[in-house]
Amino acid sequence: MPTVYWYLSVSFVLAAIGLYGLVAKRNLIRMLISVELVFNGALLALLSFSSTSAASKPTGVVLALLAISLAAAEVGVVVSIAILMFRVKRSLDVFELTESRG
Amino acid sequence: MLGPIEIFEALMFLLVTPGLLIPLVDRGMREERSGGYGFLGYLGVAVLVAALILTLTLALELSSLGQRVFAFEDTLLFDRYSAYLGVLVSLGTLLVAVASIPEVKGWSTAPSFYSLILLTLAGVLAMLFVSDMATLLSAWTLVAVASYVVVGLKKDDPRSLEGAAKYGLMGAASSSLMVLGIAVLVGLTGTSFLPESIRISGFQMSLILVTLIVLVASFGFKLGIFPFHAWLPDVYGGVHPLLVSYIAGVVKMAAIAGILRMVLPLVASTGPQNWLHVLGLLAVLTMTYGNMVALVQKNVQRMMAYSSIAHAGYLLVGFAAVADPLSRVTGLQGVVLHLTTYVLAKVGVFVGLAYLIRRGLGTTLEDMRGIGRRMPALSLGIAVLLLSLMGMPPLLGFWSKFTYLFLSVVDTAPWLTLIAILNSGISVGYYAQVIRYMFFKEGGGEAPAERASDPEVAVVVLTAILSVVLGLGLAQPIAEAFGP
Amino acid sequence: MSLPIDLTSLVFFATSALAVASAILVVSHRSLVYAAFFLDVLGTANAVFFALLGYPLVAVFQLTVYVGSAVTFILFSVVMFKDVPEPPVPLKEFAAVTIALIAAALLVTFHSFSGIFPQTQAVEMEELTRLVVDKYWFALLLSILSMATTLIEAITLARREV
Repeated sequence: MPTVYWYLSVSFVLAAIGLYGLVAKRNLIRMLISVELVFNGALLALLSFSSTSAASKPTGVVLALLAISLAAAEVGVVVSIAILMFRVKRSLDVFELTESRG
Repeated sequence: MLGPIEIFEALMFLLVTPGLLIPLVDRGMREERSGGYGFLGYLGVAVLVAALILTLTLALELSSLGQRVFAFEDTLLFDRYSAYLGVLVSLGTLLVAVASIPEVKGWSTAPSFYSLILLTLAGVLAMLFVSDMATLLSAWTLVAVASYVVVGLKKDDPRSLEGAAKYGLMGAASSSLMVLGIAVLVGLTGTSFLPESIRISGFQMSLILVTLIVLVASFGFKLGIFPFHAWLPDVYGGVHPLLVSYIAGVVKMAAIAGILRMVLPLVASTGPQNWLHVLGLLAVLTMTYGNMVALVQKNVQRMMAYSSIAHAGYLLVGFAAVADPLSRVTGLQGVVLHLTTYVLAKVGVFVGLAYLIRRGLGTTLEDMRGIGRRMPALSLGIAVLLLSLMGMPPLLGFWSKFTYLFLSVVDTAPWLTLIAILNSGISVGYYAQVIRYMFFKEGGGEAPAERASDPEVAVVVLTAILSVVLGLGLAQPIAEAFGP
Repeated sequence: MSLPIDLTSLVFFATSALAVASAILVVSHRSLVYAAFFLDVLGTANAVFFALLGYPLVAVFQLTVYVGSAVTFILFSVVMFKDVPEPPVPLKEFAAVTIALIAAALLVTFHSFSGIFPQTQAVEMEELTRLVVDKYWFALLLSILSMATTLIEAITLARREV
């Protein structure tokens, strides 16, 4: 049976891949998807950590449910802004304007 | 007499009800009224005046009570320190709302603007008093989702949208990292409660340091601490300054609250040396970067964005001082005083820049050339605020920065004090540049004259007066009445 | 979950492989649509982990709210952006090495958890309801408020009309 450490390892690998995507990409949606990778890793870490003792499991569930709704709300807002930005600029490159502005 | 808990409940009710009802004001209403959405501005200001009175009562009551009050099944903890910060955010929001009336009344998004600033304020106030990670997570969500769109409210402005997109993305990154930090804390403590001092036993130091770094990173994204600052200049420097005044002056307090309630309790477990090294290093990097880059800016709004990064660095000096029990009190008093300086100055300066834009000027140094002659009150106000940020005696910024923040670490980490003072010296270079352009450069004859009836001018003058008055002997009483 | 021990390990390792593979594809696949699709796969794999750890409720919530709405929303909106070019970013290799080092450091740091087996019995629904209603009611209220705020923003963005 896998130990807590195995679950933690998977979660850290997921979060690390997500962080790489966040710093190595410049497309808004790709960066958002990468952030969601970090979030999935964090959520798995939260539930693995709180399953180390029976006493902390209920807390873990409450925190996880709140965190999932948090992520869903944030995704909704950021994607809506991205759609609007794409309609105006025809681009999702978040660094473009910065460079021209100097 | 209402107790702290009742006041807080009244405050939430006061902010949330209009916050949820204002968006129901329909477009049809605007066509009937010639004044646009101006009436919403007055409504928002009225609600915020009441909120300011309530937070002030809360702070004074907690200060005279002299003890902490747990509430809502121990998920909230009221103390005078956070209550004072609550007064600051209420004041900041009120000032932004007053200044927004002439500008925002023409926006089709005006109802959302007033609704979202009230809801964000409710979230920030809840965030200031959390003592449980579940409440912290949901208060943080409220602040986050409400503030992303505030940045994008300016119509016909692609930079406003781009700023909102970047702000939202970095906010999401910050939230994800915070969930990771919460995960590790739950793993180490087994509970979601956030006590005054989190004691972690039976784990290696490296684990605790990882927790500290993840949490500092997640709040650092919002504050603009050095390696996590990349989005900040574009948002603070590119979006309409009126919206920035709200983001910089008010929303930032949510991240400060997070540090106060979730990061500072870790100090006992990390040990003084580790704490001082991690936070001191971040402070040095953040303020040096912010000041260096601000020096070469030609656009005052972008300059102020980098100056915000520098000021996040100064605040970190105060947080670093928490390592030692002796310097802890001075450091935290410095944080609360410097936040007062910061909120007054940033709200004032960004509102001033918004006024320049509304009167058809830009925000570059060239645009501000000689405006001291045509807009004397506004320019004088901005100059006082800049001098306060710079730390010129006897303004509030001098006391908060030099006598509290920087001196707090002089015994434990003299190198940090030295670097901070050097940094303040560098910052004179760009603040003085703005003042020089406003008053001592020829030109600007065609600039429009200010009108005494413009609320923006009143806000700038008021914040400047407060920075002067609080500097005249009131810094120490505030620090003692509302210190940790 | 009361799977036999061998089967639990088997499911765990298969799901891990799937999760890591889809995570790599999320950041590296040329097409944004596929990247969003693999995020969907990853979310589902995560739900399997939650079920294995003894959180059936969170697993269901993850599938319905997160995978079902949030990620699907990304997936559908991405269809709009399919022709967006992705310019390269400098210092990619440097970032990759740094982050690999961070991940390795984390793995070493948390090695002390290697002897601990997860408590896989599920949390009683009744206990959970009591906890939320009695202790975390204010957090719940704030979450509901956040959802209402998202609705306000939907109105705002619609009214902004670009």
